[in-house]
Amino acid sequence: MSTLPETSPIDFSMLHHLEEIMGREMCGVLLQQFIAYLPEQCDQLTQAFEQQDYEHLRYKSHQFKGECLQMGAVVIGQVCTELENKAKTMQTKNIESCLKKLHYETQRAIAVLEEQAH
Amino acid sequence: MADYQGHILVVDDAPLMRKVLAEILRKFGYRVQTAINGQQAIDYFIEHRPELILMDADMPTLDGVTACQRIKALPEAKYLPVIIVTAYVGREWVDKAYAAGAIDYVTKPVNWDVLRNRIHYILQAKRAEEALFDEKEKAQVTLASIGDGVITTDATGLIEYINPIATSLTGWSYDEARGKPLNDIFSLMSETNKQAIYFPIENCLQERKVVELTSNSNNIVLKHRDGQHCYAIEDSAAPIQDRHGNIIGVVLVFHDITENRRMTQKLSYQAKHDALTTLFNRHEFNNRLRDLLQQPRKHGTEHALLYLDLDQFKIVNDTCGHDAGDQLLKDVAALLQTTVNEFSMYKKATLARLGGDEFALLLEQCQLQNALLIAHKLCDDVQNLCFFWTDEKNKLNRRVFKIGISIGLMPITEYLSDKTTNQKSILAMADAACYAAKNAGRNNVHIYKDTDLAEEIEWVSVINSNLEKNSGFHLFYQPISSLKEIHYPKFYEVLLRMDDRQGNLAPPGAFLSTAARYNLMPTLDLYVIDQTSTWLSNNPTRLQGLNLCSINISAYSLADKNFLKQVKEYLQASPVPLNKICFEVTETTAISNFTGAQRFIQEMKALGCRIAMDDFGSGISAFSFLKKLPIDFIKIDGNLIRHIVEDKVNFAMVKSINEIAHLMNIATIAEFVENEAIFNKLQGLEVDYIQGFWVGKPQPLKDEPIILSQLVEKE
Repeated sequence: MSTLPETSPIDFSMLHHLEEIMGREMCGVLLQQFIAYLPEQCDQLTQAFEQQDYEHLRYKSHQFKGECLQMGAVVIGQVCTELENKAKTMQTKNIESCLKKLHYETQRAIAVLEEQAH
Repeated sequence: MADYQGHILVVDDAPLMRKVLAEILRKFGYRVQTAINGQQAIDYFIEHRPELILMDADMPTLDGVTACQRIKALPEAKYLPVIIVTAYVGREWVDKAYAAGAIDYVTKPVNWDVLRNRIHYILQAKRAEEALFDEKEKAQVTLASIGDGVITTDATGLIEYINPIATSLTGWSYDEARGKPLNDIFSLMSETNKQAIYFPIENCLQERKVVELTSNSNNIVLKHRDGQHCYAIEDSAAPIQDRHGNIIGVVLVFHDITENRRMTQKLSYQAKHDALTTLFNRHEFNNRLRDLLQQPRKHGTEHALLYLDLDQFKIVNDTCGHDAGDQLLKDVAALLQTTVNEFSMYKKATLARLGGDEFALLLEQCQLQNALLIAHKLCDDVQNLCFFWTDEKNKLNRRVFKIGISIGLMPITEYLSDKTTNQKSILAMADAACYAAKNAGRNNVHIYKDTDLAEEIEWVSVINSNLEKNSGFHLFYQPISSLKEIHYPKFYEVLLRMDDRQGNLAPPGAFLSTAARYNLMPTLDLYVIDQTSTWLSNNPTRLQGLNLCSINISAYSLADKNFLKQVKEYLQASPVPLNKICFEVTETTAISNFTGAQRFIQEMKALGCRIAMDDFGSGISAFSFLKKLPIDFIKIDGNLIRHIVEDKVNFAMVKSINEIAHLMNIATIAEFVENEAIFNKLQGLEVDYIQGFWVGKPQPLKDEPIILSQLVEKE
């Protein structure tokens, strides 16, 4: 199976704009915090699924989506939107695969961001 | 302190989002605080009043839309902009946010440049709105607090605004007045005929004119809605124009000048009236008299000027104090006014108090006989007035006074010469007539004669020249007989007569008031003392047969500071035994100058002289006052004696005076014993002495023996 070229997990124009406004240093600190924040959020979403707290899952994925979109992590944002809709409509079967996708995209984004940070 | 562009609250439950928003806004120059849910946002707003809130929509505890709604419900948040920031883009969320009072809706991811501009313009608009509100509020507060009434209308004359003062003056509240035509609310009326007056608002609206109602529009008043109250006002209505010069309404400003108008009226009243009696004052009387005299004199038109002077007023004032005197003047003024009003035989009457106890009455278009009728009625009414006075400090000390009034009547006819037609000379003539009335025995009316004024001047020169040549005066005497030895009077009263240069001897009544006015009384009294003393020492046989010789002392002499000393010098130089000299002081004199009278009486008594109180009963008949004066005789007033036969009250008064005098060891002398009937009455009362025509008429004090007129004729 041939793999399609993957889209970049990060919209760097958003980050560049942030850097313009906040300055490089402040933006760097923020980026580090975001890198650390991503796995925490993934874990919380997984935990909510495991506890079958779908309302919390919906709420958390909505909240996480906003933050990711604002930081340019557009792909994670898309996955979060999917997850939010599924939690809202209780499509529980597809949630697990969605969470896996989230973890995968999170790792990918972290890799790209860390590279960027250095 | 950093100079922030504004104070913003960021509300978001997502920690990273909150941090990013806060940091970015700080970078934009704002002071930023954060909250993590709707409830915290409400609490923060109440305490810190941020200028703008950025609020996430979906938050735990209290969501952003509900929080926005609750905050906007607070009155303090009227101008607070709340921007909802959310990832929701659905119509439902957008509508809910605006319905909750959000000013704007920003979706995530936030476009920072858009957010920056929105916040900037929203804050600018908010501040402008607040400034506008402040201005409007200030204008409204100003209009509400201003001391003037303010009403504004629109371009059609319907009321848009009415301030509290205007509300209180018209009786119409803002809500009631709004939308009504100006003249329905601002209802003017003529104070004199009570007719409604239309306020010409059209002049403002159509002709762009300022319409003014000034204090000169004297009789226009604003009628309150209740119909009871009216206010004198001053107002001005001006058109209001917009910036293009279009008339958009009228502003009417007015204030209550009721108090001012009242004060003006009061001052005008005070300028014309006497404060004590409320009659017209001298100034106004003079004006009216002058105006009358300046009118062209029509054939057959006659006016009358009455000059009125109270008799015995001084007694009340001196014995009971000024309060009593003032009250008496008020009573008399009211009485005079009532009496004048009873008549309708004149066109117009002006009654004034000229000062002191002097009044004047101007009767316009009043014939002499009618004026005379009114004058006599005034005399009668004043004579019938009983003035009661109770001492404030001693309520038991209650007194009753009878007074009189002397009236000089000056007819103002077409025949008056031009020389006399100024108000001063007319008033002087009326005054002279009034003196003539007084001289004629008080409580009298005297019609002015051309000789009245001249006579007075004449008398002064006659008195003076008579005093100089020492032969113009003649002493007379009148016997006073003891009831026990009626045929052998050993008591004389010395009387003065003056040569009037026309071969007549004038009685004192004719010239004494003139002498008094020109301060000649002490000289005349001393003259009598000197002449009497000389005559007695020149006639030792007469002196020997005489027990007492009585000499009158006037009130004016007692008031003269040198008189007492001079009398003492005369008496001490005289060979006449002083116990044969008696001085007569009238009751009125003693009351009006008690200190002077007391001093004179005491000094004369110390020299051995006797004292008689003359005309007792004509004044207040104060026996308590007699206790303080060492009196030897009371001469009962002739007016009481004269009617003693037919008047029971007079009889009772004489009887009581006689009895009380005897209890006080004071001998009594009855004056005016004019016939036998009177004599018989007095004999029954056991009066000590009698004097009068029946006993003996006044005769020249010459060397001839005494002639007892009636008695000698009888025998």
